[in-house]
Amino acid sequence: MKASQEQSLESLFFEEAAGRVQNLLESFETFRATGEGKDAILRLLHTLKGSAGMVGFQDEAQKIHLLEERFASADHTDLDGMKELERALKEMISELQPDRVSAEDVTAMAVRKAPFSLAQRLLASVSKFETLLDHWRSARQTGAATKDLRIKTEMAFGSELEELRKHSFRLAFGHPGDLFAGLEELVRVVAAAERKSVRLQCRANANYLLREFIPEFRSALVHLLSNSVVHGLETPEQRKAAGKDPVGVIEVMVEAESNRLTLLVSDDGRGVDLKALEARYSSEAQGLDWSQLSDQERMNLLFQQGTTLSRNTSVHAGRGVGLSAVKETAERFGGEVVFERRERGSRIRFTVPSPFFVMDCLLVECGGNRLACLAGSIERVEELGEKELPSLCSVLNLGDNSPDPPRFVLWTDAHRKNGVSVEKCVGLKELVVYPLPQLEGLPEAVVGLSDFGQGRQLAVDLSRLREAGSKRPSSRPRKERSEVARNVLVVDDSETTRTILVDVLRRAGFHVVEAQDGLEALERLDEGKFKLVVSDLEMPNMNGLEFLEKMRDASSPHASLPFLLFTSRDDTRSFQKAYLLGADRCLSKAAFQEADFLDLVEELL
Amino acid sequence: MLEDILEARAREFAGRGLREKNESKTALLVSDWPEEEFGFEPSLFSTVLETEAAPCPAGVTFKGLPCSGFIYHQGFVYPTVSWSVLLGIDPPEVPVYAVTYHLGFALELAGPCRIEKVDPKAYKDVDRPFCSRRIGNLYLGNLDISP
Repeated sequence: MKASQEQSLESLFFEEAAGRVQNLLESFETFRATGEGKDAILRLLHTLKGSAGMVGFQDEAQKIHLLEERFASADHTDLDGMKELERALKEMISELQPDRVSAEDVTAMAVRKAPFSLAQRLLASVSKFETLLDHWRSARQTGAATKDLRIKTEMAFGSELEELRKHSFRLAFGHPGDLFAGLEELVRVVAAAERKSVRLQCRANANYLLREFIPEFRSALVHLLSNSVVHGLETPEQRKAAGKDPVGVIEVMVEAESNRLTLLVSDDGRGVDLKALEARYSSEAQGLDWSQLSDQERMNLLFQQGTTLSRNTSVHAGRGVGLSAVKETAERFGGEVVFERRERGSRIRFTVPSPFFVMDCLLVECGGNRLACLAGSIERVEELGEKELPSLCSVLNLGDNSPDPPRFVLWTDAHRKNGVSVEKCVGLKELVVYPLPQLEGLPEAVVGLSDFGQGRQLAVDLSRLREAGSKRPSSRPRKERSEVARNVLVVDDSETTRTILVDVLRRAGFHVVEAQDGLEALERLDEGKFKLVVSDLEMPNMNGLEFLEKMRDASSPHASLPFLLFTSRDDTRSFQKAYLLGADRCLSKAAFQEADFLDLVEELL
Repeated sequence: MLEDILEARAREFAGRGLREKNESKTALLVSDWPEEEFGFEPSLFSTVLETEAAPCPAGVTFKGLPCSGFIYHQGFVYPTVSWSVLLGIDPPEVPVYAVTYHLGFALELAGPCRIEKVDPKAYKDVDRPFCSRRIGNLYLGNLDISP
């Protein structure tokens, strides 16, 4: 490890330790007063121990381990014992202060430090903004705000804003490398202590991670990796005997999606010893009927405080604290942690929601819309030529207002001919993507809203197009001026209404077919090709909402047909219900105006 | 002395009358369409934004209402619901987005919006979707949308 990296790791450890010490002292006071909080103390000590080991403070890790042992058997009513523990705890805390760095080290650090910290640069930018604003105000008051000055000021503001944006970005995000730093060292130390041979592979699909995630995730990774080395992987001899490579492999993968971040820690070891887990639970009389538990429920038991399948406690694992600390971290961020059994070895999936992400995106134009496609979901881009592929906007049920024909194909799997066409590829950009709220009918491929320039674009994960779960599976094709494009089905039990609508539509050049209720309408739909349905709500046999529900059924060939509800029952609830079932528009008969009605019909086509 | 007391009482009554007069008026966030106006309880919204909404795929609904687009505001993405689509009226020439406090969406209205005080005693019942009452051409919008 490079000296500068070691230095930054140590600072990070002291920073983390300072944050946990306060909690440790508070938990200790609670424990002394009430006897509660021992679990919290053990978790905090365990986390600190792992972090200390990771930055190479093996002596400190050993001392914390001993303290952990003493706390595990501590009794809060033993006053002398508690005094002794307090003394040991404070001694340990004093050793976790950064003053262990010598004066020479401090001088060396000062020399290595950049001339301006990020915070100083931010403050300098803000100060420049204030100065610029002052100049501008005084120029305006004295009448000196000439066009030339306006242009210069605008340019100065623009360039300073860019600086501010850059610094804020650096402050908000770190690199996956910051998360992985030191892990190799940790694995090496733990593996050596356990007499195992291990190779660690770390990968990430994101360029940046939110900085606030990094220290917490590092703590979780320390536990997960220690756990994998100690419990998951076999010794080289055992691996050889099982026909495996004597060197075990642990893989850490960070998967960033638009709304969540996932840490995957996999190993190719022996997996979980289910018999040992069952024996442990049976012996502890947990009140759980093992045979009634699902496989996942059994695996979840591993995350309970105090669960360990190890017979011995070592400095690195075996107390049953690590995985429960990981679970606590995931839950604190509103996420979850799951243990997955695999054919060979096991995998832990640690997922937390994320407020936004920075992703490489290919900006494209399609159907008059600008969209940001996650670059990682595109295999390659090429000219469309004579190939016939669906357009991206039609697959996503987005409107198509572009007169331009598609020119490019974005392949998600060229071998299987999976791809979509777009009109224009604008360029590759690193964009912030904000997740969308849960919405009914939103195609799964639409994963967020990206932020670029003056506008915002939908962010699309093309790899999810095949599994797109749109409520309306097929898309609306480009506007055609064929006979079919003018076919409208009018459904109403009132002959007067039907006559009026048919008259209005026919005069406007539409071909109209009539039906008296929902049942008849379904039959008419199967007989011809329509581009729009205009339907009443209250009808005998099958009302408009029942008819709409049948039409929108995923198995129906008419699921994507535009539907206009035209009703005299124009209360809010009816309209809401219709929209919920997939109506495109609801129109009150009382508000009927011929011109407006025809505009609406044209719009829906 | 008596005159002083009477004068003080008169001032008190006058003040009370004024207060009552003020309290009897309620403020509405009003959006103007060419032939009618729509007012909403201002406390429903945190802000009104002039911004461009990203498009939304057809068939997407938010609590049963058709979603017309998406806007971003202070760390969150809000689906937008178009008032003109809900009522089947002309779309606004200059759309603005009133971001709701707790309902989780932004309402697309005709901009610019204004705050106007109205006398609730003048309200009349109305039979129109998403509207509860009206005063002349000013309709009181009803956003009670929890199906």
